[in-house]
Amino acid sequence: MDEAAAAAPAQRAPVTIEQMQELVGHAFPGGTFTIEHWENTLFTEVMQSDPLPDGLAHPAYLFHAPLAGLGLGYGDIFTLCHAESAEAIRAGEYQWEVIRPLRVGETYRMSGEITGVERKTGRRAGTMDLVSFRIDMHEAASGLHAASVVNTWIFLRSV
Amino acid sequence: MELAVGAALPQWTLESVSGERMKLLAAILRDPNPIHWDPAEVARRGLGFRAINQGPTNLGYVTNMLMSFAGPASLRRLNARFTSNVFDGDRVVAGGVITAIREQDGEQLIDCDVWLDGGDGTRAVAGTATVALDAAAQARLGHRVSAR
Repeated sequence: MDEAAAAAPAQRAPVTIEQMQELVGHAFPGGTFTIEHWENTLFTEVMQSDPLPDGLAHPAYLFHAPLAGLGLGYGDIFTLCHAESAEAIRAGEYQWEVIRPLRVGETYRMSGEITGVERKTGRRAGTMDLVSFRIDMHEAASGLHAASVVNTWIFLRSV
Repeated sequence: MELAVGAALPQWTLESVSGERMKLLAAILRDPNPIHWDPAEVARRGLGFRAINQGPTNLGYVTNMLMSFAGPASLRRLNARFTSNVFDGDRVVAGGVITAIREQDGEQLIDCDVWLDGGDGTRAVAGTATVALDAAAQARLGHRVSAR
């Protein structure tokens, strides 16, 4: 690539709603996540909580563990959802359902997919795509369903 | 407290949100977004002048409030959305109000509206939750809840 081309701002085609809707049903690669004692100790401290009894992990792991267990970084989701920049993303709604409390030392198997895409227009934010994805957590050893999360992230569009 | 629809849950208060803990969580989550550790970047984006707390931590504060009320393994459901930012040094208060008391599969469930209010009283998190009162919570609250 020559220097002029390298210096020019990237020309990005507008992301169409049709492109986004093609993501619905996209299955994430599965994976596992183990809640390690050391990490739960630090994570619980971040949450300003006293250590929980009986080997319980802090429930805010329901944000961290599902994504980490799928092997997905934030950047992976940004790319998949055609984020215009890291600044053009907002947290939307989070839905957590807990069937079995999360425990330190337990390994969880994750499976998940994109479940919905909706395009909206806000007065201040303009055009945005609301992308929802569901991740199910099962205890790896027992196979029992532990929790499910549905996250909705908002991708702001300049179109 | 009285266990009845409309009753307020005991509040959970943090006098000062910690910027150092934001940095620690950014490392744990491998979250590269500098708004959680670089006030200059927050200012550049026109979002304020102090580091912005991570959303999961704000949800964590709400779950702390629920666990203090109903027990450490009590959370059954939480639906929440973020309505404003919480900043380094803010005082935050998590609260809730009971919207229903019911029994399901042998558990006494409490449905609630929940929230987290930031430094100037601005609502930072709004949502709903369901908790199952554990035995210790039932004993502490003085009686077993009856579904109604």
